[in-house]
Amino acid sequence: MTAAAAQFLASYSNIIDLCLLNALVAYGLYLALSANMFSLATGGFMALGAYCSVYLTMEMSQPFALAVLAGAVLGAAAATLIGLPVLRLRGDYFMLATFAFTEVIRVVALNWDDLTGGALGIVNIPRDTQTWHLALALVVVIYLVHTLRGSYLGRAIAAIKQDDVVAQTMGVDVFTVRLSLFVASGFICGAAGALAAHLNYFVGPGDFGLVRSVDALSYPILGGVNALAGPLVGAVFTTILPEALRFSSQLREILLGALVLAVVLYLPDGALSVLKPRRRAGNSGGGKATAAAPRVSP
Amino acid sequence: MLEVRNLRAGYGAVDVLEGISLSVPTGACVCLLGANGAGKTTTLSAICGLIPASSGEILLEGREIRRLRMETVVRRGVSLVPEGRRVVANMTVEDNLLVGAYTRGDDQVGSDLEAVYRRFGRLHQRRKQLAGSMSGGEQQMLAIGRALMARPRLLLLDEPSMGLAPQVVNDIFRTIREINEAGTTVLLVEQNARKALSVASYGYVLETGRISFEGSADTLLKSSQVVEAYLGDAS
Repeated sequence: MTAAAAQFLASYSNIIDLCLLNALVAYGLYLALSANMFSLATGGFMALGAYCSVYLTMEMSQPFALAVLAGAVLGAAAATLIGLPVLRLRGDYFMLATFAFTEVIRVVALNWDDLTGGALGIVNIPRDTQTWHLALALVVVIYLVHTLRGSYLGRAIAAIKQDDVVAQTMGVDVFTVRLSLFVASGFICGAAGALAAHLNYFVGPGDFGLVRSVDALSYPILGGVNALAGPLVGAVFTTILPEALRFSSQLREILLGALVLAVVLYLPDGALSVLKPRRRAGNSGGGKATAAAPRVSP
Repeated sequence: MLEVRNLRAGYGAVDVLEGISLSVPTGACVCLLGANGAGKTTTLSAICGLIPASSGEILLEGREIRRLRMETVVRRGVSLVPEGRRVVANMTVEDNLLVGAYTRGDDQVGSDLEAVYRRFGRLHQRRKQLAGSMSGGEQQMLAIGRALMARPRLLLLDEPSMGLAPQVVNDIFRTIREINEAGTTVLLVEQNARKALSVASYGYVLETGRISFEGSADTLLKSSQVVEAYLGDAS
């Protein structure tokens, strides 16, 4: 009986860790999305962070904190390197370029046997990541994002999200702002990769591919990018849902897909938008802009 | 204030402007008239650095600004009210105005915000409302107010009357006159020639990338060429 309870708690704490980790990644993506950068580079950044930190802790016997920091810095450096040329590209081209980056990292990880263990990956990684590490990192990131949203820069970013030209007209250096956000996103994802590697005892090249990138992108989109809590809600929801749907075995993926589709169709501003006062259905002429703020229209 | 000489600019390999020259003296209100596709918006975009000019000179207070990017031009004192207003729809009116003050590091932003609210009482009433939920005229006021928040010495206005009711157009033009009288130099691009010439002292007529005609507002209003092409027969 007690053994069963302990086991339940153990698996429960696993889910909590996973929720916190995914929420961290979600805020990394939120920063990119806040300036309309649909980045698929998450997997690549996380892989860099993971392999770099594991190398430092296991081969170089460096402290865990230093390893996480190094992973984050490596993620940020990679974001700078690919951001400089790629951020000039628009929309789908940017997405393709970041996808290519993630694929390159995956293929390198698969073949660089000495460093990454190749397809077999690296096992017996010390489990250094504690729940409070993840919680602390998440709180710090949420606090920074909150501060950013209320600042001049935050308003400039909101302007960029809607209209590059308007932001430019107001004297915003759109490229530099985008690059900074992308680098911050790389930093957070790199740190998350390092934390993930030291959470699971194992890293392999399959952990950080396209699926990882798409999942990460779906957290803030599902939760909603207009509210501060959106990415958190999206990450927790998407992490818990597969567990909650476990009873349905084979149907699980289908249910999950259907739910995601439903959110995208009926709550285009993300799941959190159910909390906002909504106007009568059919009055959607102006799109998102008219969703809130009551006003008599002509 | 602004001196444009032999400016050529366009999109990609094609020049829309085939060498235009114009001059906006300090304190003046000058208008640039022309039909759709004449190159009016291209002219403004090239002046403020939104699109690169392929050749020619753009002098702001005697200094070349042709190769500068827009964010630098804004810091030098030029603000653009873009065509179609382009307010940030899902941001409040007040946040929109504060975006306008992005380039400023001083502590007068609050008092300038009050000044904009005094000028546009409607914006004050709606300051917590989303900009996208306002009428076209209110959005135009917001776009002008936002540009003023950068404390421009030269204000570029791109078709402020577009898509607005006649009464609202009158309000907007009265405001433009007031802004100009308060000391801001204005370059106004318009299709509504009669309205534009009622506030401007000097005008240029742009036709397929060239200045075809220029003169004082009175001269233009009397010129048969301009009257026929841009003012119509009515009134």
